[in-house]
Amino acid sequence: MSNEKEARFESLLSQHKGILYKVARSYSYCLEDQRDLVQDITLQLWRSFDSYDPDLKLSTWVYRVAMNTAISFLRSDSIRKKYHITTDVMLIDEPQENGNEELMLEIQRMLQRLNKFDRAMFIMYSDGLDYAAISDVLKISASNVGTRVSRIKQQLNKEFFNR
Amino acid sequence: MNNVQDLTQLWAAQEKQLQQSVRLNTITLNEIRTHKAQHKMRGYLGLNVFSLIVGVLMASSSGYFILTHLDAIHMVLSGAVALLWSLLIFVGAILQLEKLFTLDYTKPVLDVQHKLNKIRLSALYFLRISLMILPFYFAYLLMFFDVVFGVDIYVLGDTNWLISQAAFSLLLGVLAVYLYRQLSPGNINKPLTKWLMQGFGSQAMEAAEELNQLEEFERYSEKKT
Repeated sequence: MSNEKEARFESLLSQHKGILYKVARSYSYCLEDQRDLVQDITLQLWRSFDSYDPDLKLSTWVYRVAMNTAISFLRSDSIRKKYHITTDVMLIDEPQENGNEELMLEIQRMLQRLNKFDRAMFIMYSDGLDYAAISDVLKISASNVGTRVSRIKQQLNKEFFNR
Repeated sequence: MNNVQDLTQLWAAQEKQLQQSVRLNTITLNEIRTHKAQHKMRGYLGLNVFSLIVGVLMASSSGYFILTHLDAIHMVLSGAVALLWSLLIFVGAILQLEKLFTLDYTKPVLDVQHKLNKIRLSALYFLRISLMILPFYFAYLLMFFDVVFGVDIYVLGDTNWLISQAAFSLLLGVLAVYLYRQLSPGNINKPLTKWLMQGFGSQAMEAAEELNQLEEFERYSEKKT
């Protein structure tokens, strides 16, 4: 294991740590889960780091790993808790501030209305990813991403804002 | 906040602000590296390895049975039924293990989640294959009596008894087809399927539900070629 690899991994994390936290916040319902999920994603990124495909944008690659880990994480709390490696090790420190908690609660309530896959799509859209990038992460065509995103927005406006 | 767009913008701004305050803890990288692989899939690995072993043992025994009974066509056919079933178990286990070992979280989300749910439904796959034995129970009966008691019940049985066995096989065949179709992830919302799948625990139920959700999502969003 070279120091060079470690340095590259650290640089990747430092560049894309926001994705990890955004995905973790969107797929977990308490701080403890969020912490566990960030750790799971970090471990999965480290394990997959050797197989990084340079043809893929780094953010797309990070999103794929993060989303796959988060969706699997959400699946079974009991299984996850049973086999989770208990540790205090955190490669990424928690944010120094918690932000607007009321806003986060509102966002979580909104996200809960979406199934896991629509949620994944909406998280990436809200993060400013273009349709082509979202399409690369999920493997559906970019035009369909556009259609779905607008339907999700319609659905949320109707169900969440009664508009 | 009046609509999703406003909320999304506020969210993006908040995430940006929070991102600034996340620090990278480089000291712990060495410790992270030493973590063992997660064990979430260990149960599925065990089930499939077990099925693989059962498949190999059954296939070898059936093959041996056929070779030692080449003079009696009904025994050869019985052995062939058992061999075919063992091969289905064997091939099924190999395919499931292949999915497990090639699971790559860096691949597109829909592909990975599809694979994961199929792995989580391993037990259901083996149950469906096992149902196929039902109409062929007589073949196993023949083999059992031959191996354990050295008796050929096909030769000893009278015509009426053999006809009744054939009729019973036919009934079991209908039942097997019905149950096979019911035990499909697509029928998860039907009460009978729910009841039949209870034995596999909540994991299989969730996997079936999620697979449906995923397939619905894929149907809706025409897949990229």
